[in-house]
Amino acid sequence: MTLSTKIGIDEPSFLEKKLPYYKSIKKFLSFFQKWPVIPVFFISILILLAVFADITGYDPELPALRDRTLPMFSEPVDPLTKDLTRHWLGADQFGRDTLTRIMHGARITLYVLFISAISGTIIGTSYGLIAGFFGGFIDDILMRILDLVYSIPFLLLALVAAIVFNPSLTVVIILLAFLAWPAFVRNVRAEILTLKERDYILYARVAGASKFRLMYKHLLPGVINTVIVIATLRIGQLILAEASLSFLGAGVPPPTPVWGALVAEGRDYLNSAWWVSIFPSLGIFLVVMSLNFLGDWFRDRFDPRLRQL
Amino acid sequence: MAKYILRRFLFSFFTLIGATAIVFGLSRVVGDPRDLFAQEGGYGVTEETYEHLTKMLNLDKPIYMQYFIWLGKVVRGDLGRSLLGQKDVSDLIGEKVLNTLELTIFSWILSTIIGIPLGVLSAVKRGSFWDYAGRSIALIGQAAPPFVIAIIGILVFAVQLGWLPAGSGESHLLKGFIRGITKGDFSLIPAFFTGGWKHYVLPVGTLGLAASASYLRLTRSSMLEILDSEYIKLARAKGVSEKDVIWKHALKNALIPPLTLAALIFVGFLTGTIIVETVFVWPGLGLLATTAVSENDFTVMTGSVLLFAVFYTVVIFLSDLTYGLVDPRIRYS
Repeated sequence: MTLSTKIGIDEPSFLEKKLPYYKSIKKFLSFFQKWPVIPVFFISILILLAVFADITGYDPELPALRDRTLPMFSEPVDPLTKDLTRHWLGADQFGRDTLTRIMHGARITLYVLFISAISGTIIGTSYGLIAGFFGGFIDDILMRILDLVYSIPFLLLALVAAIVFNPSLTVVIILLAFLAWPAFVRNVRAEILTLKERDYILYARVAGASKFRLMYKHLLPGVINTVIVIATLRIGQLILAEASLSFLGAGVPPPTPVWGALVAEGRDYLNSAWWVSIFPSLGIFLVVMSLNFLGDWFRDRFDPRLRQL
Repeated sequence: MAKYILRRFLFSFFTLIGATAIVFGLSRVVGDPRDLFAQEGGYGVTEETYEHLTKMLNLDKPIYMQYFIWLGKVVRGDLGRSLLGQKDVSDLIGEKVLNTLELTIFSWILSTIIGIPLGVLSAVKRGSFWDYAGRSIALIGQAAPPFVIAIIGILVFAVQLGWLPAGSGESHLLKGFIRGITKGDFSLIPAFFTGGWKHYVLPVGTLGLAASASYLRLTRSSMLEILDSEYIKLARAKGVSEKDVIWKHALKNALIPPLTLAALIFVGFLTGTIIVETVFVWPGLGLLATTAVSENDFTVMTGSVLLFAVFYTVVIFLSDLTYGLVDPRIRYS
């Protein structure tokens, strides 16, 4: 051990010792450290894919049997798809274009995430707000219910619910919202507990503000930072949950292209057509990673107290 | 302390009741279990059979009564019979539970072996190769869902290289041990070493990698925090050797958060196994539950959910107790 570590100064890193032009590279890298360039890049790609999903001209759900399991970059041969562009990422076991299916999948993923994340956020925040604001008996009951919700294995509940109500887009969105909301409650409640003792709340009360007004006009703005940070940190997990659900066949039903289901469908063809499940897998991985990074960045920037999350 | 234990115990009890009630209720909302015995459109079942089934499944009573009847039987150790195979659910679960348990224990050990030392190493040798290796594992484990890791594992090791089987295995050690004691047949244990272990590599690796990521992150951050603290600086200033600073002073305190995480990770595996068992066709509880759900076999479904919930609450209960023991402040909050 060198002296620098002993007195707590960071040693020059592993990269620093190896790379030439380290200083200019470091300047370049520090920009990447300061701004979430890479996550934003991948997420913009996701959004672009979703927006321009129809650009390839293929139908995401229509089989073209003579194209089945065509490898990457091959020209389509089926009479239905002959005039279209190449299968850039290959075709699946029914001859559907993998790239097109991934693009349409991005659209559905974004749609599901948007609705479930927003409704989960609203439910969780209001729940924490009510528990913290009223306190006492109501708080006790609400927190016990929360503990109960935490103790149910989500995946199992989701499987049961999906089978009972038949898998559909709505069920998936409701389930994901159900998964999302508990994460907000504890932090929001804790902040409300301290906020409501502040003088300005007392003055508002004296001025005759109703309970509803106190909660939504005076307390809610105080926790909105925390809420945004938690929401961005949770979105990655929602994608994972959605993908797991559709992988297990409890998500959005086929032939709708959802990423998790794409991976599951390609599983049986790993021998002959690996691209069918590897590209959607890669998509899930990159998007979740980007969202995690983005969440971390948001947290460090807006609410460093939440580091422990 | 007694009051704390009692409170946690009561709470665990109510959690169990709540969780099973929800699943029981959901499983009865839609779908008639009697239809399992009939062809499409109710063909093939006589009125009498239908009524007999109604009586047998207590479908003529209101749903809360059905739940209490089920609960009363469960307390006496009777989980009912599976609707499709007409086997005792407790037998079905008994067959599978060892498979799941063994998978879980192996993955738990693997994730601990990878996660904690690598976390310590990446904190101690900050900026070194190990730090980057550890952080990349954490990154992958956090962002890749288990089934993606599983699929890539199958593609590389089973399809391309052909080193490992892509699926179906069963517990060797636990089952072999129990079978050896009860029936004197120890043949499963040597079978593990001659080739049975190959079945474990991919499922255990998949589960373990995902879990080691959270260990790693937590160990690294807590170790960094400890290494930055005053008493470590004092120890260094006194001239304690670097080895002793890390192993004797820092490690003990840094390990408290990861050890409390250990219980949660174990619990997380129980749901993680659902996916991994489905991908690798590992005949455990998770596979039992998913097939029961898709076949609408609600006795098996509620039975396996009950078991998952029991596992969950017991582990959480135990970890709460140790928490209370280690950190007295928690008892009074």
